[in-house]
Amino acid sequence: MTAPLVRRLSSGVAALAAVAGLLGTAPHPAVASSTGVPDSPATLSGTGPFSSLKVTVSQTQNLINQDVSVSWTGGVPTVPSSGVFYTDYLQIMECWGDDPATGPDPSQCEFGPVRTTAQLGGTWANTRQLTYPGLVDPAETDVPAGYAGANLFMPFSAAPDTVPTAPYTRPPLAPDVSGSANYFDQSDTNEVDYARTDADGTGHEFFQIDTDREAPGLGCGKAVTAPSGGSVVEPCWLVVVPRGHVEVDGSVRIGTTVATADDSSPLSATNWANRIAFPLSFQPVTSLCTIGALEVQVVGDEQAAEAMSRWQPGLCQQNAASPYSYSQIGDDESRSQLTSGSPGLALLSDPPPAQPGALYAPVAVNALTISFYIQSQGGAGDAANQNGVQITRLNLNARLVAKLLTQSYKAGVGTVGPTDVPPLNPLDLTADPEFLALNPQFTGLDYAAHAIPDVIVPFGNADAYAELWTWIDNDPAARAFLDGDPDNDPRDPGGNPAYKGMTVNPNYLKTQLPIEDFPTTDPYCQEPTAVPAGEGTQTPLCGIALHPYSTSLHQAALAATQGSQLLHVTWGQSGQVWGWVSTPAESDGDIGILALADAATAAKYDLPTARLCNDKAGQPGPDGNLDQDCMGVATDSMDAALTDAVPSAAAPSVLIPNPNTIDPRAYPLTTVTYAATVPTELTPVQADQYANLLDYVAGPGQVSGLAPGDLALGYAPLVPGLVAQTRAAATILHEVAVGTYTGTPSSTGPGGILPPLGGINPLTDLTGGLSPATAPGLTTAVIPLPPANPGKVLYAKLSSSTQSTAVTAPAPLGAVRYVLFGCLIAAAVCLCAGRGLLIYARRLARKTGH
Amino acid sequence: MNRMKVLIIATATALTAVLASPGPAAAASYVPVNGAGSTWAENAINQWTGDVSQYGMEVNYAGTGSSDGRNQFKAGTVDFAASDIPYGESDDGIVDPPPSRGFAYMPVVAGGTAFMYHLDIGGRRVTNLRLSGDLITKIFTGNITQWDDPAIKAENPGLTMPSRQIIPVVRTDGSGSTAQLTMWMAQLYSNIWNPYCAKAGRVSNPCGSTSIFPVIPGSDFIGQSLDSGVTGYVAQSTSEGSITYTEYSYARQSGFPVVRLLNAAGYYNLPTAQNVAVALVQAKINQDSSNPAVYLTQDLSSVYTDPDPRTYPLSSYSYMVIPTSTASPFNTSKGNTLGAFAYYLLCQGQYPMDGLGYSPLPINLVKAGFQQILRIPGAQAQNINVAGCKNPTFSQNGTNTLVATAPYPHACDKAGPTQCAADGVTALPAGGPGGAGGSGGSGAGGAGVGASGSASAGASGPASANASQGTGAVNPDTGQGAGGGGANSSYNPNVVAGQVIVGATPTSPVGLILTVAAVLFLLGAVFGPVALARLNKRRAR
Repeated sequence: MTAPLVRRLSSGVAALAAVAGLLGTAPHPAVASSTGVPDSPATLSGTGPFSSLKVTVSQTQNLINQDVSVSWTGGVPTVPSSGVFYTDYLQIMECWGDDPATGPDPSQCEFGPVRTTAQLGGTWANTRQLTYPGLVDPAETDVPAGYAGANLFMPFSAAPDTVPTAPYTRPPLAPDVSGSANYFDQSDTNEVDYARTDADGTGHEFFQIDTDREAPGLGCGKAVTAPSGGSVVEPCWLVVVPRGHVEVDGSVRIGTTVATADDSSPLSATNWANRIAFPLSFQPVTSLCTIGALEVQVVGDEQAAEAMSRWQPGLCQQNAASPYSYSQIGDDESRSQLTSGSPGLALLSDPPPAQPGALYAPVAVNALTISFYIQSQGGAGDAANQNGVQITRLNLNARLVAKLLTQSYKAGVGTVGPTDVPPLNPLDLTADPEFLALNPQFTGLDYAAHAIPDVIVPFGNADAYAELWTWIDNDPAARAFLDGDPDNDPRDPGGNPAYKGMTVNPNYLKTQLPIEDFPTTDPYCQEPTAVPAGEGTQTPLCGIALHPYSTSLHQAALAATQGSQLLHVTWGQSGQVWGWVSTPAESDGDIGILALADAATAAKYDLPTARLCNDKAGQPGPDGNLDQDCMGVATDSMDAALTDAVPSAAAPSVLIPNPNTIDPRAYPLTTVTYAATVPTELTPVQADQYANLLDYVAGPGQVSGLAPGDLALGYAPLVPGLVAQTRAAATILHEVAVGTYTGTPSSTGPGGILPPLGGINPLTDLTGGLSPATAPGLTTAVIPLPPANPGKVLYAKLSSSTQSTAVTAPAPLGAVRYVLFGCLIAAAVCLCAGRGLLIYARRLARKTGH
Repeated sequence: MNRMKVLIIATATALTAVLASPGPAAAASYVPVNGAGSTWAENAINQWTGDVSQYGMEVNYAGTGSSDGRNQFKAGTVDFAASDIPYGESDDGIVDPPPSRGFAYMPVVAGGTAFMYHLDIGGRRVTNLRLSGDLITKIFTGNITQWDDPAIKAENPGLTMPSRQIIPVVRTDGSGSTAQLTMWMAQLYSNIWNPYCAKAGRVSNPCGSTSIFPVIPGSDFIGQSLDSGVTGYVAQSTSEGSITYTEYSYARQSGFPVVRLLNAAGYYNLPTAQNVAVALVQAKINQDSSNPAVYLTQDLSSVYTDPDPRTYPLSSYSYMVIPTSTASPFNTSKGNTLGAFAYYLLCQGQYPMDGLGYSPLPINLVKAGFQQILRIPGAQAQNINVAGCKNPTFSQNGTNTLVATAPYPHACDKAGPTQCAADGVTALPAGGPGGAGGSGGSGAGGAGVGASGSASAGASGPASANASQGTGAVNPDTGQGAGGGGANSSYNPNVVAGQVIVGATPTSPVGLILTVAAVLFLLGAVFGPVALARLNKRRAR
């Protein structure tokens, strides 16, 4: 199995925590499967030398293609404690096999394909090989005693299409792994070759359960014909093989070097005897759609991409004749398509300035997140036990994000030679006192060798990126930092005199915000070094060569799970020509990566996401409570953010989130994506296709889950008001399709159509995910206005309870406040200026002699 | 979790139960396949891998560069590769040997290698820059280093070129884009390219094409990896004066303009889907099916010199390198999947290409691609046919709809004393800022609309949205595809380049009204007395 996959599977607060967080439920939620089947965790103990080992699998029934959590206690700590795996670790694999008594045979397991990448343990530990030079497993009866021929391998048998009537017998040992290569290889096997037991005897991994679709050799969840007729759903097994420090021949391995590592395969009989096998049951693998029908073209932003990809199979099940295609394009291009006269259907968040007759339907509530894959590093004393363990909690505030995005940490530019970064600035995030105040769990850790100075961000423009910058721009501390104030400036509302006084990288000084991309403007170049003759000539590495962009949020998150910074700063051969080639990923135990990702993409890759803190967090005294002042992304916090969104000036039926909400329950970087079209410019066929899409989005597409057709995890299901708007838009499109639509003047304006919603107002009825019971202490009608802050967004909000009782007329109440406020100011000005001017006017009159 | 959500989940459970029952169309069973390579084609391939997942097909692709893709295919670590150039090319005297496992080339998508640039004049982003291949070559060989070089001024009579250094940005990794550009320079401008190449330390002479751009040590060239690296560099606010080469798709993603490139007919054109399609009519496709090392490889020399005024000369297509044997890691199960995927991408998969900045493959290449698919072990031959192929360029009468409807360039795009303004139709100079070298007054008098296009039989009639087929209808005035079917909003340089003001702060209409009211109120309160005083004064008279 490949190293990246190990990392991917070991990543994350992952499924359990992500699901818990995103659904906003208790720590042990019902699993987010649309079947509503609860968790079916199972715990089994080891045997023999591993009898103190207790392994728990988070879900064992009604499985689909998903991650499950595998955790254990009572293990012997892995040697060595980071990087590689020489003794005392776990190996995890998925197997087929129908015999409930014996469990699977090793020849029924997906493990040990052709190995082409570097291994992290002993010589044959991640292979199917059963004969080892200088090492014999006496229990391996298939290998003749004294065998000295060519190496022999555990064969692989694929699961049959009918329920077998005779007991399974293992085929003869194979001369190579070509048999298994027809079913899996290192690029797609789900095995976990090495799972680390930490110093306290516990460990944790995420294991990707494959169904028949991902692993046809195992056939898990496949409907197989039963001898009595009918069919049964193929069950499978999750097998854990614990490895100790005694080899198959009884020799002790101390694990200090690779020469003293466990060498044998887990499929060797002696090792296999220690296996812990969990029976798994599956939901029937549903057949997806048949390829070949003409697809309906839909374009739009990345915030909706994950949702669309999960809806596609559900949509085509409903109407196989018209599957949908989704092209991820820039927001500007979406807007120009919408106004081009051939609007098609574009998914976007900011409407074009004015498009009469445009129709907007909310489809997805998502958020931008700083996702991260960080392993505990450099800890001494007690913290040494945690080295290599993934950290799943991270707090950031707007100023810290501003520092990360402006190359203001030393390692964010370059560490060789002088740079523009002020010398007092910390090396990276983890060395910043402001960060440590928000993240005490990093105290005593040392990331000097693997610094975390920046965030992997995508290139190109997006409205969502502008929202992130607006959040930074409107945060007083972050804005002051960008304007050159050191972060301990006493005038700075977020300042703390204890900080060292870090200042922005001068190349970003006074950056005009908001912008809609991520500049990397420091001109630093790493000069080439001399290379041996025949190895070409190095070119300097400048700017983004040292801090590369990803092509998308999706690629950024994926790279993080693989421990990759996407760097090409290794001098090597591409083919036979020398050049800068892809830099290997960080080693297990050394990983520390931040990546910008939308909530759905982070959830897809089991990446934990940073909580975003307000400026009170981390302050000394009772005000700075990290739990109260830092908000993670979850359905509730996204819904709370919606209550602060404002109608777009260009299209009143579109909500524009306010990233600088003062609601402490709101996640600031929440995004709303709308499907936009112009009904009068559509053909009936198009209108019908788009209406069907919106019908699905407003219905089955709002159920969070893992099954094809569900709403991908990470999205907040649309609140009732937004669902009503989408349904109303679908109704209009159905009318266009059958020719009964008459866009009445009252329903259209320069900003588009406001569909009739039967008394429900999408701009106010946003309370679906909130109830007073879940938000105690927030029943006051109005949160006071913040101190006047010239040039910033003025915000005031109503609590959910007030809004829900005032659905019919919330706007006047809001307006009255503004009017009163405006009148007060105006009156004050009049009193002063008007009076003064009158005096002046009289003087003027006097002077001119009248 | 509140009651509403429980209800939703319960409803969904019921729905899922319905969904889970065997549908009328049981899909074929596919196995995962993996590929790597070209970043030039990456945006296209990501589109296909995303869309086919609804058919139960799991195709993984990593855009690691063409050279890396070919190497990985050779090493057997991927099932297929994508590359902009074939095996066997000589790079600085070193031949890239073909793999020992059986393989074939299949064209997957066409496109233009574009020159994305970052140039402001008087604080405004230039979007209508035009250059000939000669000047491009001189820029990328360091022979022209200033934007106000007389030769550049001469080709841009409508622009007042600034005195600013040109910063060429090139790929440092092994890249098919570099190979495409250098092949073009080596063929057409060898007298400029070969001396540069030698000066940059290349042993081979003549230098020919190369996958890694040669840079003279100490020069002001900037090197970056991957398309996202070079375009990301040019897009920086500090990168004014820079220019790079990339697939058009990436320039559109960046929101930056690309050079209008001079073709053999004397017109400066953009790499639109139509202009690329017209150019590739002249591509000579190697039809020697007995020699797999060259079969279906492209000879673009006639593309470079195509006399059609609509041509974008630096057009090419990208290949998929597909296995024709079951050597590890390939097998017939994967072949079944790869065959279905390949058929999909040649047909239905070509629809979104225009919207992404590519050009859909025409029927001759699709048919040739079919022959290659049939050589994949395990591919289902009965499913590979033209009749079922939903390719947007196919038409009833056999013509390429994209070529048939491609608009002719405007008069102001013709080399000469005028130049199209940022709107793409107005001729400059027209008494405007007076470009250097422009012979004032002899221009097309400002309007220029409809000054061309009369020669085109195909480009007539107003844009008609052709609903579900999306066969790029074209607006004859702007030359922009009107694109039915939703995906084809062709690149409009004005729209993109005009986005100087970004990230508008959201304002509610209520807030707006109140603001206006407050301002009026304040103005009234402040100046009212003065006005009244004046009025009184007048009355007093």
